[in-house]
Amino acid sequence: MDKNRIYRVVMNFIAPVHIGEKEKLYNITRVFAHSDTLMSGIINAYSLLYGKDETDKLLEEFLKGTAPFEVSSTMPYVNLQYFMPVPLGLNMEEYKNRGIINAEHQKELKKIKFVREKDLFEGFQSKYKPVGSFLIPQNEFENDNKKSFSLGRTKERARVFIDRQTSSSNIYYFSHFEFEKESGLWFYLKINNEKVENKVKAAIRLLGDEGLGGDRTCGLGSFKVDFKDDVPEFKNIQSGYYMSLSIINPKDEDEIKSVVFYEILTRSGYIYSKAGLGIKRKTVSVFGEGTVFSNKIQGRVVDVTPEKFSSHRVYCFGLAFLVPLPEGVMLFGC
Amino acid sequence: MDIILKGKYIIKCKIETVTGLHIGEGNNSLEIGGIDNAVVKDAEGKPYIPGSSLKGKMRALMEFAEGKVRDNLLVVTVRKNDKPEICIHMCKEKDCPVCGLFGRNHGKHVTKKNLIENPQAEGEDFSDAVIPTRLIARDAKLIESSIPPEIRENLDLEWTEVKFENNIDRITSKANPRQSERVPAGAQFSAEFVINRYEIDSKDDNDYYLKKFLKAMKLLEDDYLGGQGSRGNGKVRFVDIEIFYKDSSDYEKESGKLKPIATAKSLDELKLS
Repeated sequence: MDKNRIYRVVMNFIAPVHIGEKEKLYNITRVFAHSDTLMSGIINAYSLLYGKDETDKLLEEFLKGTAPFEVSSTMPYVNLQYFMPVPLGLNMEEYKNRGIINAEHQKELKKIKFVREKDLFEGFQSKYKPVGSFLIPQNEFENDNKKSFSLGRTKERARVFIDRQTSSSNIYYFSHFEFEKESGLWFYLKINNEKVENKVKAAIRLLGDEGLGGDRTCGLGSFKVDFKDDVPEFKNIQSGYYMSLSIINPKDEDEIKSVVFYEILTRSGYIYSKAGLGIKRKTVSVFGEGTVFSNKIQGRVVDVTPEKFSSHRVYCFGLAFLVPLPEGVMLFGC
Repeated sequence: MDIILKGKYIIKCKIETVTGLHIGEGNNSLEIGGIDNAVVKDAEGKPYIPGSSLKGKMRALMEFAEGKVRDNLLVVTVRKNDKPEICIHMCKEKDCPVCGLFGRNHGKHVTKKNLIENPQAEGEDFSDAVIPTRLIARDAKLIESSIPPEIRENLDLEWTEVKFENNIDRITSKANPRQSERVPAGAQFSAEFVINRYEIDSKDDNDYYLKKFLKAMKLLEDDYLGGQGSRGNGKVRFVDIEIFYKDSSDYEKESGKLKPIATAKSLDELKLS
């Protein structure tokens, strides 16, 4: 990667979090926020701190293609170990056959969704065992380490409207995700323009106080932020394959052609800003996290402003946050 | 409209239950031999007070105290057969302490008065008046040491007591008992409220909403939280109150320690400088 500064931003949640899956479904919660959700949270916080004009200037930089900063999607950390999505198309069976992954059933392999950052960049040097959707080193079990390995759990809370005059009530359910201690989410923050560094960090700190996701004013989603420098050097700057840690909306046909393994997600939702609330934005299709590309691609910021909405433009952050996959990573058919 | 965040008032305090507290969980899981009327518990199995309960109750109390519970000021949130089923206050008024503090909902709303007069009423668009909600009421977590071992010994469940209640037939004296779970009196929860101070089109809030919120806290002390309040449950009081002010410029620094602008043992002793 470039010489620019990269931080690991650790979000230590002090409250449960609700990240909506689909409009008007309150009883389903996602656990991770995609890069576009995270970005719009940061931009909103930025605008709260510095006002509309300055935010417009910042956005212009993104649209010109000189993004002042970039973020990845949020990823889990459990017991202070950082995880990343598994590259799509990783040939688990081959790893199993070579004795690197120790799994009793084929099914266990399918469930693996996250691997440790360290393991991925070092090309899986030791022996591993799947635990739920995480792949962790075998010696974690042998070390008499009785600490349970869990990110957290989903809970549902009953909520109610009460009529002011008759006291009749209407109950509904709202689900949220509670993280275990020493577990939470983290993401990469890449600063391309030093001038904005302090302001962006301020916006992220404010986002922590305001909260991420839904139902923030009832205390959900708030977290404490820690900016860490301990990012591993992304070795092999030139690599055969790159994996995306963010959602990506490809810029042109060439970018689409360079995709090797992919998953397509649909991003939709409502506008949340000071000027517009509750208006549906346009829907856009994107490549999900873990998508593998054969070239370095850029992605783009998509204008999703709905028709008849004139207060401001609405964007979906679809720039690529790529990391090179190390030599020797075994993908299907490669 | 241009909105800039000037700062945040952060109120940290403890909520102490003076009588048993019952905030219901809804009966979506029934176990054989279990309690019919459980209280909300977090992932660790300890009771807590959801931020939404605090916020909702305070909002309702404020609406009454500010004279907002009138047919022409109530909007219909749930309707049944084109009749208003559930109504709460919401308005477009700029300085409305209820809407300003607790938030407005976007989209179209019809007032109760209009709906009664005309069941096909379309409603007005409130979007222009909507601004980010100033108040954040966080979940209040149980302070474990407030339920000491000698009390826990006498409790029916790990952290809570079970209270038996009864209906008695007036003629035959047939009893119809029920049981409900509640947090014992004396338990403390650590609560945090945040009030955003905005500058909207160069008009600064100052501490207008903070003062209104302190009023809402006082209203809550004289009312009840959770269910079955008219039968004695749910009296709470705020103790060990600390109010901090965090300026928006503080976010540019690595976190430093904030100094409280006011502290008090109870709400009555609290004085804002």
